[in-house]
Amino acid sequence: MSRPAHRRPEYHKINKDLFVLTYGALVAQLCKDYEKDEDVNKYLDTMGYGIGTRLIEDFLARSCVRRCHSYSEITDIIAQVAFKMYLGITPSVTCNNSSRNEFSLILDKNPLVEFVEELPAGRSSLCYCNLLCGIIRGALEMVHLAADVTFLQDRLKGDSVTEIGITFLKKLDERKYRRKK
Amino acid sequence: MAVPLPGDKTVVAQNYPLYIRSVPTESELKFHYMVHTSLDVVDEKISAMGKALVDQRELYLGLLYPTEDYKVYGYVTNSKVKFVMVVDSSNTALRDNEIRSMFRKLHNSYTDVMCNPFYNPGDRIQSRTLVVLGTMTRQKTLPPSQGQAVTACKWAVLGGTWRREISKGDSAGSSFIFSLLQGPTRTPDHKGSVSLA
Repeated sequence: MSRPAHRRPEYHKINKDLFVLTYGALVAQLCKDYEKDEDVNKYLDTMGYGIGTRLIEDFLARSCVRRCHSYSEITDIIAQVAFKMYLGITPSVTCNNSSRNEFSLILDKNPLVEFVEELPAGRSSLCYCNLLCGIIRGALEMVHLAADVTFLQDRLKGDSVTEIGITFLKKLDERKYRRKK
Repeated sequence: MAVPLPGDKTVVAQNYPLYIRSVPTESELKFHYMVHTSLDVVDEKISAMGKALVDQRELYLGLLYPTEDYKVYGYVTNSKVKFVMVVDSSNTALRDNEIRSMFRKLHNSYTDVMCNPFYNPGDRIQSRTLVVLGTMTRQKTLPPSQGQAVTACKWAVLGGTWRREISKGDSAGSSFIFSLLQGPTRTPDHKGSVSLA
């Protein structure tokens, strides 16, 4: 596999506060636009999906990750390389079931919710960081891996940690591989 | 629910309280009154500064006026948000730099509250983490017959982390009231009356 082209080798750093405040303004505006929490969550996920489909190219170009052979390798790379590159945190990975296609990313520190103390009244089922779920889902889909990404636990809702669950569904082009065999 | 128009930038000297907290909670009305009367002194001090460069030092206004029971300290930010602190006069251990540092911590916590995307500037503050900032509560002196040592508790909540320093000290009872008073702002969009934390 050829080396990825040199792509913007320097990171253009911006102030983290600006990014966090921008995300907060986005969520607050969505909350003003839509009455129901499910709608807000759905639109955050859709926006994240759009970001993820584009971000994956940037990620693959910047990082020299090799081809993965298992779902757990993929989840490890998401946690240790991708999250570190874009958010500066490294969540820990746990595997949830024996068939090795359900994983959890446990975030002990989430920079996006730094200034949010609690969800506003009447918004108790809002997934504040649902954009992240959409990003992961979109990125995985662009590498032909269908996955279901949701928040299993959320500190803003009172749980002890923030946990993102990734469930890998059947590969999208499995039929194509089968034919070759 | 009134929605402000996009071009609506009328500057009105509102000076309504954003957050009031007193420890202990009796005679709260008296503290409210004192804080309101001290507003005049704050305005006087601000106008007296005139065209002087406002740096960090001059945000702290110092002792506004002493009464026989209480001392009142003031602090104003560049966005004209005023912080007023009322302390018992009998509390002689409180030094000027302690008050300054308390105001600075209060200011920091206030900026954290402002950064909350769900908080609209001009609303009453309901943040749990801004609950008590640098309040000093001391238990009243117990009669010597009870033989209990008097303890002074100093609580500071800075953005959710509690720091508690307990020191055995003098016996005076003292109390604190904090007020955050909003200066001239755009016409606020009151989302109904929200109770104090």
